[in-house]
Parts: sequence; C-alpha cells; structure tokens
Amino acid sequence: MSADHHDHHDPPFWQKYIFSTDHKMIGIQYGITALLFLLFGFFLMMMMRWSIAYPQEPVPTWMSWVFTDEWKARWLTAGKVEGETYNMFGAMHGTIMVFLGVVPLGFGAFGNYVTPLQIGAPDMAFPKLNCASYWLYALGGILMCASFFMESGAAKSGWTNYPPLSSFADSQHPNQFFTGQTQWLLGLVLLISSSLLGSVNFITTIINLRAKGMTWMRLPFFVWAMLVTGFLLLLAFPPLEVAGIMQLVDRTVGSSFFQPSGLITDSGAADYAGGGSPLLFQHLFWFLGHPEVYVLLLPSIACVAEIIPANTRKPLWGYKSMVYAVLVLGFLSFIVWAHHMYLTGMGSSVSTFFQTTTVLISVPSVVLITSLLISLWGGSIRFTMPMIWACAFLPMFGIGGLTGLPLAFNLVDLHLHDTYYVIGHFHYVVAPGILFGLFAGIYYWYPKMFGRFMNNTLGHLHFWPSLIFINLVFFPMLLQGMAGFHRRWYNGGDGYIAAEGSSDVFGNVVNEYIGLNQLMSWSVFLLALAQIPFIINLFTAWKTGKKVENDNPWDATTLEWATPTPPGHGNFEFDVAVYRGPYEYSRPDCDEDFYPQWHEPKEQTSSDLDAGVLPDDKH
Amino acid sequence: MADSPEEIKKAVKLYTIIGLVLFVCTGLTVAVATIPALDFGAHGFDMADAIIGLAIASFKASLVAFIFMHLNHEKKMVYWIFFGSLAFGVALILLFAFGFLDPITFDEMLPKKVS
Amino acid sequence: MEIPYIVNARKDTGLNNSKIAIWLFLASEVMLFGGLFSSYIFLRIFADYPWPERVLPVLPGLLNTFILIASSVTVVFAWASLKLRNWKAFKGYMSFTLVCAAIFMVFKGFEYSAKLGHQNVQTTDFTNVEGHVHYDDNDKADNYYSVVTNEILFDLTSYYDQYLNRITKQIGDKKVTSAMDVVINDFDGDKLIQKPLVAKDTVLDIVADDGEEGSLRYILAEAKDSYIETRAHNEQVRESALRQAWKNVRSNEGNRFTAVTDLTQYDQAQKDAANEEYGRIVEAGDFGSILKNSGLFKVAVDNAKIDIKPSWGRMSEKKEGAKTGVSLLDQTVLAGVAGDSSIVLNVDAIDHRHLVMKGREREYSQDKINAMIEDWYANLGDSQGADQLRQYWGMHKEWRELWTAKLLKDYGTDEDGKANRVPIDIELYRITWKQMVSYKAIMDGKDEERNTVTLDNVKHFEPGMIAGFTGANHSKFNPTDDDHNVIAATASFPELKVAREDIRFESVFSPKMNNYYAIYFTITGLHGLHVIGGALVLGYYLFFGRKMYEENPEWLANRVEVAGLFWHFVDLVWIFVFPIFYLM
Repeated sequence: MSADHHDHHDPPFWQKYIFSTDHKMIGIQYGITALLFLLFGFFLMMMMRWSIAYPQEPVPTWMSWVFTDEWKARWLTAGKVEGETYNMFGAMHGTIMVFLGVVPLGFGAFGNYVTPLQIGAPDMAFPKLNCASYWLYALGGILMCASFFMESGAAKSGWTNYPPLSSFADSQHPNQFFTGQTQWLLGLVLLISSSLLGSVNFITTIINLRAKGMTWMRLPFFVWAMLVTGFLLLLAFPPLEVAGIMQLVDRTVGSSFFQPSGLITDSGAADYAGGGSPLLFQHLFWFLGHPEVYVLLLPSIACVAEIIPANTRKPLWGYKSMVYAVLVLGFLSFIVWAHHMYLTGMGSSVSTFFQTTTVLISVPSVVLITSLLISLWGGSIRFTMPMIWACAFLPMFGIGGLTGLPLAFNLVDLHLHDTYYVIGHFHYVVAPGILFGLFAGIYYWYPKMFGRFMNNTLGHLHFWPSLIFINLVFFPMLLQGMAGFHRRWYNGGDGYIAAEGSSDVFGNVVNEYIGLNQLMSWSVFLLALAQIPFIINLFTAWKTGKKVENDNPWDATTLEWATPTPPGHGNFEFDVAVYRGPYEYSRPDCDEDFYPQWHEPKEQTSSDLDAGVLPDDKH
Repeated sequence: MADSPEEIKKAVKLYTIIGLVLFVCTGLTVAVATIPALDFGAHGFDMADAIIGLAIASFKASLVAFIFMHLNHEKKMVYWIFFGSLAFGVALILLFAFGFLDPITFDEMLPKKVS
Repeated sequence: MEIPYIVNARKDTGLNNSKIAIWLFLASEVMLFGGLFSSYIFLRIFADYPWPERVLPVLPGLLNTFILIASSVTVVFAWASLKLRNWKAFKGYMSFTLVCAAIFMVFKGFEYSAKLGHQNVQTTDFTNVEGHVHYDDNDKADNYYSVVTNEILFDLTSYYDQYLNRITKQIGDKKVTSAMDVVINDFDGDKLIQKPLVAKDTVLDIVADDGEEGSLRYILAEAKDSYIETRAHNEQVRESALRQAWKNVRSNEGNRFTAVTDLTQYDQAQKDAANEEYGRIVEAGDFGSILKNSGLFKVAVDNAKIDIKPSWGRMSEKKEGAKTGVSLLDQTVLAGVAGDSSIVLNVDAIDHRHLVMKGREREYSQDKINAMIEDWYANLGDSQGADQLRQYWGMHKEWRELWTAKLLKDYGTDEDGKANRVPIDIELYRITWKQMVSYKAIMDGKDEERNTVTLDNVKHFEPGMIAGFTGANHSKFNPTDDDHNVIAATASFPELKVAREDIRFESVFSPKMNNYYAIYFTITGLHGLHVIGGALVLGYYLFFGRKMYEENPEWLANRVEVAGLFWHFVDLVWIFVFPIFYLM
C-alpha cells in the first residue's frame, strides 16, 4: 500500500531502520527506545520497593539474577540493597523515567509519528536533524546508564542533582571523567542538544508545513499541544544546560559555582574557593524542572484529546478554550518554578509571588481536564481499548492534579515537603495519569503504524490490573506522606520503629503506617506482572493482530487517517487540502457520523478555492 | 527585505555606516570606563557606570539586531518567535534577580561589601 | 518526496523553513546566555570575596570587539554580494570574515594562556599574592606536596596507574619492600586454592610491569583480582545465609494473621529472629566459610622524596619536617616526613582587599586592619624579595596619600565636609603590577629627576596598554640571564617564598581561582565555541558553496543569510560580554 512512485529503489537496511530520516521510523525508534528505558526504570524501582518493604531481607532471586556476582559484591550487602545503592537506583529511576522514558515516548515518539501526518506534511522540515536528534538522545541515555558498570557506579544524588551533594559525589575518583555523576551531566548535555534539535524541527514543521487550508484553528489539539511542548523544550532547557555545564566545570576544573564558602567535608576543609551558591543551581534546575512537567503532560493530554472525540462520536467540547488554555499553561509554566524551593530560605515575598502563580496555573489545567470530561457528556461512547485508557486518564490525572494544590501553598508545604505525599502526588500525575494517556495513544495509533489492531483480551488483561495496582501503589503514599514518612528512606522507616508502649510519638506514627510499605511493594510487583500482556501484545499484534479493513479504522476525522496504512515515504498519496476543523463528528448535515478534514465538500466551487473561501466557512 | 539590486546597494551603504557607528560606540564605552574625567557617579566603578555601559551595549546590540539581522523589516512570525522568546529571556533574568533579591530579607542575605 | 519551502518562502508566513529554524535556535540561545548572565549577576551580588573589578587587560578585548564588528559587517556584505550575484566579492568578504574569526580566537588564546600561567596564592590571613611560579625540570610550574616517604598503602580496588607511575618514577632506585605477607585466593570452580603471593620484607621491583612475576605491579594486580573474587565469594556466602535465615524464621512461625495483633511488632520480632538465625548460619558455615580478605597492600620505602600535585590529594601536616601523610584521590596513602612544599613565585601583585573585607565583617577598627597588613609584611622573612616588597608597600602608602589628597583637591567636599570622591579599596589595598614597575624605576633612580614618589612620576613609569597586552609582562620587566634565571637586581617583580602551611588556598587564574574567573571562562569559552561553530558553517559555504551557487544562487544566498544571522548573534553576545567582563 505504501508505494511511493517517486522512489523506485529501496533504501539499504541501515538507512531505512537505523539512521532513518523518515519521521515515522524515527517515531517508532523513539517509541521502542523509550519503552525499553521505561522498563529499566521500572526495574530499578522494584529493587527500591523491595528494600523499602523488606530492608533486612536479600533481594529475591527473581530480581537479582540480572546482576553478576562481582557487581552484587560491590553494591549489595548480603544481598540487601543499602543506602548508597538505593540512592543510585533512585537517582537513575527518576532520570530515566523523566528524561529517557516519558518525554521521548510522548514528544519523541507520538510527536514525531503523528504531527506531520496530522498537518498534512510529507515529513518533518529537517529530516536529518530529526535523525540526529534521535541518536543524540540514544547516546545520552546510554552514557548515563553505562555508568552503572563503572567503579563509581551511576549518579546517586537524586534526579535533581542538587549541589553541593552532587559536587562531592564521586569526587574521590582520580579520573573525574569516568564517574557516574560526570557521565550523568554529559548525558544531560546530549539530551538537551537532542531536544533542542527536536523542538526547532517540530515548531518549524508546524508553522511552515501545514497543508493547504490547515489554518491555525483547524489544527487538531494534538498539534497545538506539540507546538507548546516544543516551545517549552526550546526555552526551558537552556538554563538547565547552563546549570549542567557549570556543574561540569565545578567537577572537572574545581570552580565553585555552586559551592558556598567554608564547606567542610569529613576529610577537612574542601579545596574550593567558595563564594558560590547551591541556590543558583536550584533556580536554574527548576526553571527547566517545572516546564518539564508540562512537557511530560501535554503529549499525553493531546493523545487523550484525539481519542475522546473519535470514541464519543462528538466534537471535542471547547476546542478553542482548550487551545487558549494550553497557550496560557505554557506561558505560566515558566513563572512558577520556585514553588519547588519554598524551604530553601527564599524571602517571603518571593514565596508569595510563586504561590500565586502556582495557584493560577491550575486554572488552565482545569480548563483542559474539564473540557475533556464534558466531551464525554452525551456521547455514544465506544469503549475501545484506547478509550478505556483515556477514560482512566481523566480521574487519575485529576487525583494527581488535585493533590498538588496543597503543595502550592507554602505553609502546607512546610509539612508536606520531601514526604511521600509529594511522591504520591507527582506519581499520580505521571504514572496513572500521563502514562495511561500514552498507553491510550499506543493502542490508538498502533493500527496506523502496523496495519493491525492490538489484541483486546490482552488489552483488558493489561488495563484492569494496571488500574487497580497502580492505585494501590500510590494512594497509600499520600497517607504515609501526611503521617510524615520521608521520601528518601531507603529502609522505609525501619529505623524509626518504636518499641511497644514507647512514648516516642514519631515512632508510634511510623508503627501505624509502615505496614503499608509491603502492600505497596506487592502492588508494584503485581503491576509489573500486568505489563507482560502488553509486551506480548505489542510484539505479537504486529504479525497476528486483526487486520484493519481500511485506512481509517476508527472513523476519525484528522489527517493521519487519510494516509495509506502504514504510510509510505512522503505520507500522502494525494494533494492534501483541508476543508474544516478537526473534530467534525455527528454533523446533522452529513450522512455519516464523521466528516474528515480532507473530504472535499460537495458544493465547492473553484472560485471559492481561489479566493481562499472554503465552503464550510459559510456554515 | 531588500531584494532588487538597487535596494541592496543602498542597504550596503547603510551597513557601512552602522559598522562605523558600532566602532565609535565601542570606543565610547572604553573611554567612559577608563578616562577619569568621564567617570560618572562616585569614584571608581558603581551603578552609574554599569547603567551607562549597559545602555551603550544595548544600543549597539539593537543596531546589530535591527539592521544587520534585518529585524527592521521582518515577517510577523519572526517577531512573534524572537520577541516572544526575548520576553522570556528578560523574565528569566528579572525573576532570577527577584528570586534572590527578596525585598524583605535582602539586607540580611547580602554579604558585606568592599569595592 | 520533496520537503516544501526549503528555498522559497511559504506565502502566508513569508518565510522559508531555515529562516524559522534559525530564529527559533536563536531564541533558545537567548535563554542560554540569559541563564549565564543571570548566574553572573547572582554570583556577583552574592560574592563574599572582593569581586575582581576591571582586572582584565582591556586591549585584547577591545581589539576583539572591533574584529567581531568588522566581521559582522563583512558577513552582510558577503550576503549582499550573493544577492547581486557577484561570486568574487562574496569570496573576498567571506574570507575576510573567517580571518577575523581566526584572529579573534588567537587573541582569546593569548588571554587564556596568560591567565593559566599566572598563579595566585592566598595566605592564611586572606592576603592574595599573585605572580609567576618558578618552573621545575619538567617545565611545569613548581607546585607540589613534597613528602619523604617511608611507607605507602595501596587500596587494591582503586589504585590509579597514572599516580602509581609517577610515584614509582620518583622512588627511582630506592629500596621498596613489602610490609606484609599476602596470601591470595584462587577459586577454581568450587575448589579454593590459597597460595602465598609475597612475603614480608621481600624486595620489590617497581619498574617492571604487571606481566613480571614478583614485581610491585604484578602483586597489585594479582592481589586485586583475588580481593574482588574473594569479596564476591564472601558476599555469596552471606547472601545465602541470610536467605536461609529468613526461610527458617518464616517456616518456624505459626499463622501470622491469627496469632498477631500488632503487625509492626511482629515484623520487628521476625527481623530480630532472622538476624540471630543469620549469625548462627554464618558461624556454622553451612554455605561455606567467610574468607579473610584485605583490600590493602602496604610497602615500606627507603625514604624516597616524592612530589605530588596538590590536586591529586590532601596532605595532613604541611610544615617541613613534620610527620605527615598524603592521601591521594585513589585512596593511596604516602606516609613519611613532610618535605619542602613551599611555593616560590615572582610577585607581580599584592592584594589585601580580602583581608580588609574580612576585617570589616568582624567589625575590626581601621587601625587594627592596618596593623594586620603591616604584620603581613613584617612576617615575610629576610629575603631580598621580601625587602623589595616592603619597600613597594611603603611607596604605595605614600602614593595613596597623594592620590587621596588629589581627589579631595579636584572634587572638593560636600556641605558636611566629607570628600566627594575618595579612593576605592582597589587603589588603597592593592599594589598592581604596573605600580610595581613604576616603584622599581623610582627606587632605582632610573631618571635623576624622577626619583621620588609623586603621582606624576608613578604615572610616568607605568607601562602602557601594549606592554601589558595580556597582563603583567615578566619578559620585559623581569629580565633573565642566560640560564633563564631572573636577575634579582633588575627585577620589578621580586621573588617570594611562601611556605605551604601559610597557604590557605592557591590556584592559577583558572575557573578554580574564584567565581569571577569561573564565569569568565565559562561564558567566553562558550562564546568561543559559538565563534568556531559559526566559522565552520561560513567556511563550508565559502569552500564548498560554489556548486550550490551555480545550481541555485538564491539558495546559497538564503543559507548565507541564515548562517549570517547566527554570526550576528555571536557578535551581539560579545557586545555584552565585553563591557561586563572587561570594563565593569
């Protein structure tokens, strides 16, 4: 089906699958790499959860078999995960999930695959940059993860890498270059370069390669979300690059950007000039860190916004308000960052300012989620696999968002800061929220990518356990957090347990809630089990799934469904023109319940087309 | 942007003049910073010198941006992209400054100064 | 398939793809440099040390500004030439631009190398002494921790070849003997073979590599292998024992859900039981025995003098003759007696501002601060260089009196009788290299009529911008003899020896020295990378653009315009960098 008549020769293997410049192949490459990283990040987290629930027991062999004896001897103690190793897993879990997993899956995979199709472009504006962007990402990820095998181990200072802790991390190694922390920073610089190339490419494509008739307000919401995401990446990442470079200089040349005067380590006064400030790093880091949250979120919400209208058979409710909301959201996300820093001793007027903007940003978020919710109202909902995931996204992301509100207020944050409540909050946003949205996307576009549906039974086997267990993982965290459980306890609070009848108040609170650790950990292990049907589904449906009957299996309206299945090089086999908005479902004046963007209206005249007036404008 | 040969020839003349203005401004910055008679404000470097130096630099920078980079007659989209981002850049610097120069606690946080 | 709008502009946006892309890229660059300049502001406002103000030699920066502006002009000329379809003119202008870029980088190189060859030593009372350090036999700045070593302790897992080589080279033919018996474990499947590797007091060959049996490197390598294998074995034993312990505890207990009301206490009891059981199993050796395993190897050395770069480790006692240990980053420890680790340098500036600042922080009186400075000179010792520095300080005090008086005379006082203009700290508490040259000339009576300290005389002898192109000019003002030794009598920059124990912090003028230089190197370094990147792209169009020009000249013109936009941006950044670092 994918015959491209301009290209008679088939490109060689490495050009077609490895250094491909086709946005669809790059999207798939991003997707597979990101899923592998997600799997790895998940595994690290299972190790951590074991240590939290059973700090005194060796890691069971069904997890620890991946390690060699020598690695275990270096990093485990009698088979148990101890503090340093836990920190390493924790730092890398966060890094992998955020930078190497979710962003590449949402922005890299879906953005790459779907955006050019939805705007009717033959490819990205700069295919070679697109290829470079993927390979920089892969290289950065490999660099970061390879440090697990170094003498120093991988980075251990949290995914935020706060100095001075991170400045001193691994500093005992004579060759600074081959240490986990330095490799982490180098990997980060590569990832930022990758996302810079990616975002320039996306924005240019969206601005300049839209098909004829694809005006701004006819762009599917997905494309709007990608445009905003692109700008977030473009403008928010450079300050982090600055921070990364400065920390690299600190580590390799010995400068003191983030080292205050008078630092003492356990081997005496630190050999630094001093005069710097760890706060500077935090400012630079969170200037990226907060927009990054929306970089994670927007692709996911964008997938859901495509799936809901197609499966309710009615237009997206409040398309325009969603577009404006996402623009406002993008703007506001740049001026809320210091709410991550309430406890750093910032002045009270600064706290107040950032508290205000933080509360403000919930308005556009609520506009988005409410519009999606109302879109369900009165629709004839088809509970297809993608729709089930999308429906689960709404309440899950809702919980994640609402639990964030208390954290926005600096007084409440005094109590909740650095507890499991924070962990529970942002995991609700990212795991059952964002990842569910992305799963929905995978089930939704899979038929376009491979011409076959994913299996429904396996899909249900994936969905229901995932939904149940993921809530059993994260909801207890909120309870534990409010009870004061610190987020960085590698032994889950084991050391704080009070003896029976003790007057130690905190110890008694720990006694009360520590049992939840085992519940959460077992939920995690079962959650892992629930992903197996998905993995099987992903790889077998490619060969054995139900074939699609036509190019538009969901009866959707946006342009990606106008391409052959799977789309060939150059995507479209006809001269694309767009005649109407993206979500024209159940229009009373049409025979079918959907009216695709590319369908030529019947009463169109050539003079209208010349004048740029399209028939639908007259309605 | 100038496209006809006449226009381009005219533009080249403009570029030469702007280049000369930039040279003169550079000399002026150095003069203001090094010649005692042109030292504004208190003796030695102070806020007045910083403002003058940055003002000249900003003037030079806008000449480069508007003439050499053709921002004096660009398409609307470029203005959106660049000035939109510039606003973020300025916001970054100002909010950063605000972030660590909190009006309430600033005096306590600032180290004691010697020039 | 053809991507649209590569050359020609799209109608509604009026732009081609690369034009949009370059502006987006520049937007990102604005944020990058915005972050850097924000950091600069932060670091400067919160500096708790005297910020080095107007310390860089202005001339190289000024010339570089001119060069970049000129190249910016020629880059638009090159673009205009393409628009006029004049290939020859394009080639000329573009070549000029690239030459400018090259000169820019060369000046940058001069500046950097002058900084990196210039040493700062901060003494324990926060006085900063700047100068050139003497060079050792290897043409490296002579700045070492020196220790007469009689014992070296190696950490088997982490010893670093580069350090080891440097140490053994300096030991030379001094005798090195093993200070311990080492037995290694060889695991052949499940069978353990223990064999002696080296006996105490064996003389070790320190030159041979690890292929030669009995050499130091061989022993280290073998012992390391054995250590790692044994560690893995022991951990396996422990892990199996702990696993078994939990199994036993779990199977011994009855029904946990009916018998126990308080789960936490129950868990705790289980943990205690498991630990006890674990101890029992390890003791019984059910899973094999835990082998003795030391990760260290100690050798005795016959008092060899070993010099170590300060950045390689830490010295516990620095005073010459004291018992000391140097622990290197790779955990190797050299024990012995501290040697002469002092830094000898030709001083070209002395700065007391940090001391003054610290004194004011502690609210010392001005008299006390002055007395501290006088003390510093009094404690310099008896060398000829120290005398010369004391003389300089005396002359500087004269000079600053005259300068204060002149400011008072020129600018008068306000209604409260306070002087309108007073000298700044930099003038009061820092002797610059130019002043040193002047004071020396006055001291020596170079000019009969100018042999007293007056403002005019000091000004007269101060070297100009050219002589101080990259800072203190040692080759001109510190002449050397045929053996490259400074002739003390004619030296403007006297020699001073600072004992290691008197040094609080030392560094060359690199990012390590303080955050002013850190941000200076970071921003100018990144800017330099941008210059190189831009020059590469422009060079590509110059050298490989001919084909594109012949096929589609408009395409090349567009590309050169886009690359030119980047080049102008690089110029634009420099326009801010120059005043911020060189003039403020």
